[in-house]
Amino acid sequence: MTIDAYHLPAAVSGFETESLSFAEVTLRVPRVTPSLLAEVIRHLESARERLRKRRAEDIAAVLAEVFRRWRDRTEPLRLAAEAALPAVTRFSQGMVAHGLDLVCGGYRPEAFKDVLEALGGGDALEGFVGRRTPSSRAYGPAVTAHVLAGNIPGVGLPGVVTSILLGSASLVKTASADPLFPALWAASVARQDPVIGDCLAVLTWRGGRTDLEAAVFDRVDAVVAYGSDRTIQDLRARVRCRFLGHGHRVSLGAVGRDVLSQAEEIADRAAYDASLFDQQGCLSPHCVYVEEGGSIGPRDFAALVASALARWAERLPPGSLTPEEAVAIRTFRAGYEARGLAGKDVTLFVSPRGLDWTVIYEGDPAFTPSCLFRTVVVKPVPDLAELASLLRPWGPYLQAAGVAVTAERAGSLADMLGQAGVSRICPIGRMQMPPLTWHQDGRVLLQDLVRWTDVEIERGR
Amino acid sequence: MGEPIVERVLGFIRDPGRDGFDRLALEAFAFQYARNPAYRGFCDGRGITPDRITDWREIPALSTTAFKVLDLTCAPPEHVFFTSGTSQGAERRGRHGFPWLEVYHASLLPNFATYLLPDGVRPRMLILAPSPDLLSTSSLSHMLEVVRKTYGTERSAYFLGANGLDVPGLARALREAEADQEPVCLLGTSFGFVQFLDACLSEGWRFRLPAKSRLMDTGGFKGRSRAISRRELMRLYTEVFGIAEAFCVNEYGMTEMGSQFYDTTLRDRLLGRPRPRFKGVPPWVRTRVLDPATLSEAPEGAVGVLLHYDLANCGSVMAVETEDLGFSIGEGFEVVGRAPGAETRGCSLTADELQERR
Repeated sequence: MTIDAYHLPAAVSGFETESLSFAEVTLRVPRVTPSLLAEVIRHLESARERLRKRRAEDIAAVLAEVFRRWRDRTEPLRLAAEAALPAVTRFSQGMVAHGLDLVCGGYRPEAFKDVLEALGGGDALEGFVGRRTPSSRAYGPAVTAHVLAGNIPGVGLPGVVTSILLGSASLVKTASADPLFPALWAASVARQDPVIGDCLAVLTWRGGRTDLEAAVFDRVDAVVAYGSDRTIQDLRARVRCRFLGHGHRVSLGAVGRDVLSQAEEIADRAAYDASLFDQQGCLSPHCVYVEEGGSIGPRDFAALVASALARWAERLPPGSLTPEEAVAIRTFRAGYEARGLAGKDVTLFVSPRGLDWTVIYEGDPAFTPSCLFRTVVVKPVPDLAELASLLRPWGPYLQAAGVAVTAERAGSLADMLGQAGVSRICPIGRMQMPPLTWHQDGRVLLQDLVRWTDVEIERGR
Repeated sequence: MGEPIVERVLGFIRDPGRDGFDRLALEAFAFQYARNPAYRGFCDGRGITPDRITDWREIPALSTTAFKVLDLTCAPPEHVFFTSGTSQGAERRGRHGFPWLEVYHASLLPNFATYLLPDGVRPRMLILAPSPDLLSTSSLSHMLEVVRKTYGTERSAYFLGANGLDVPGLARALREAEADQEPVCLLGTSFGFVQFLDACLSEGWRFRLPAKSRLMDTGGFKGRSRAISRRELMRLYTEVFGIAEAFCVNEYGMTEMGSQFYDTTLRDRLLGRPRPRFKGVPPWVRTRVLDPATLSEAPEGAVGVLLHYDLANCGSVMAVETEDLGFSIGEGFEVVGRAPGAETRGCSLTADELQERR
């Protein structure tokens, strides 16, 4: 199967293409050169002038319709994505289908309404607001570059969607691990609305090509980047315009003793959060803390998580592993097995088949990042309040906490987790479904992208 | 000493024809099961005991990572080696105690001679690694010292001291070798070589070392020099030292193993046997390449995880599962790299990466 994995403004033509092979799928992509990038950005700039004349609500309606079609499992573009993404991303067929539903489910009309509200209805983008001086106007970037990470289809999409709502054109550099989904998505936008389509370009090249990246960074107004801390550091050093880096993040689960009467269901939800996208997301839980003193103990809870992971492995089968990934899981398991043999309080629960999933119960409550790929570390705490000190060393890396506690305790737990650095606290089982308005990494993407101008002189009407 | 298994292993290494590896491996397993409580616990966890297996391939292989946590000697150790320390604290360093260094030496010397000195040359050894005086816990330093004392000339010396690499001293030694036409054997870590090569490149130094000169490098770069490809490193060895590629031998070894592996190229060249480069396996070791997801045999030529069954480990754990990837080739294997911990596909983070930065 050969499939085009790029999108360019309609007027761009005359470029060479090359092939990327992923098992039985071949992706055709443009051979990216500095001059192609310069031409693309020129077209994006002029297309963007037309987008600026559109109201944010109209744009939101178009995008909501695009995502509605993506959720329709009979749509041709959805079928094409489902056929090709397993080979490209190494996620299983079942995970790709379920994952697309989840990712696209976040962009319903009501979600766009919330975003527009955060934009103040969009008025400030269309003119100076405020009756008295100074009056203020918000400007979106003309062109924003998005450097994506390939861990999950749709990571980075909120940034692109937000940019479009701001009337900004986007040049998206996809990751080598998934050059396809963003390209298919952009093509679907263009089919729905050619004006918005002309404000999107999706290309891929090997990260670190400084000649290509300079051609982009010197011409755009903002860069939004996802990746490892090292990647972000490297990019930041080369970007002179506005730079929004999203580096390494880890997430966790927390279960209160007073809800353990529903332990089985909570364990099932935690296992779901860890199974989704084979735990590759920054919202995937590494550790699940279980409070002692409930109707079942943390070690028994770990056993429930193990059974639940086994069930989810049937419903959403794990993807294929590279030898490096497989060895990392083996080593992670072996390290804990050895600690158990050395007399440490450790119990292992492993998939009967291969490396499908792993649960480790460890008495030591120190936060432990997992090797991922459905590896959950369950830890006891005498009281969830102790998470404050346990999480302190990890503050800069914390992302989401999936929690299961009674409503009476939710407020104080949320405050404690927020203080520790967590940017999203949600029910366990919903960790992979962040709202579009989520303050990812504790920031407001919209506000980071817009630039304000205040006017203090008298203006005629 | 007096342990029958030790005598039998020493006898086998001296004369591999005399006893079958298969039988001796099972005997070593029975000995280790009896004498090594941590390893016995590991085997019991798998339901494998010496009386239940008849094939050495069934001997449970212990992960190298377990050497960071467990004491695995079958008798009080004569010497303990540690993996190279990083900032990760004591628990993160692997340790391997040898109750009988005689076995270690018995494996080391003939194997080294087979692949580095098949022509019987006794070279001046120039060593780009710390001496054991400086780093007594390093198995590499110990190994190089034993090799130097046994096969090196009087003028053999170390060029890595407490103040780092002695670049001028090593350059001087190489110029001397050019002048007196005495063959040298350069031995050291890959990052040590890259540091020296970089100095040579920036100074414009080139050497034409005498015929029969050779080189052994080992290990990765560990962030202590720029990382360069194997191919580029080979090219630089030839360009800067004037040593032909076949005479550049890569060694693959680890603290957790008593035996080492070497490229077969130098031996093959001298035997007039042209074939691709690979790591030779001494008769007292078996190496298996397994699919890391299932631990079934990897198909011929496919990349898998390397497991070694090393009789020179008779004092600890003979069957070792590594974190190294490789594939079968010729009568041996080739290493393609050490799994760096699952590579992150994006914004999440693995244990290894996080530990690194704490």
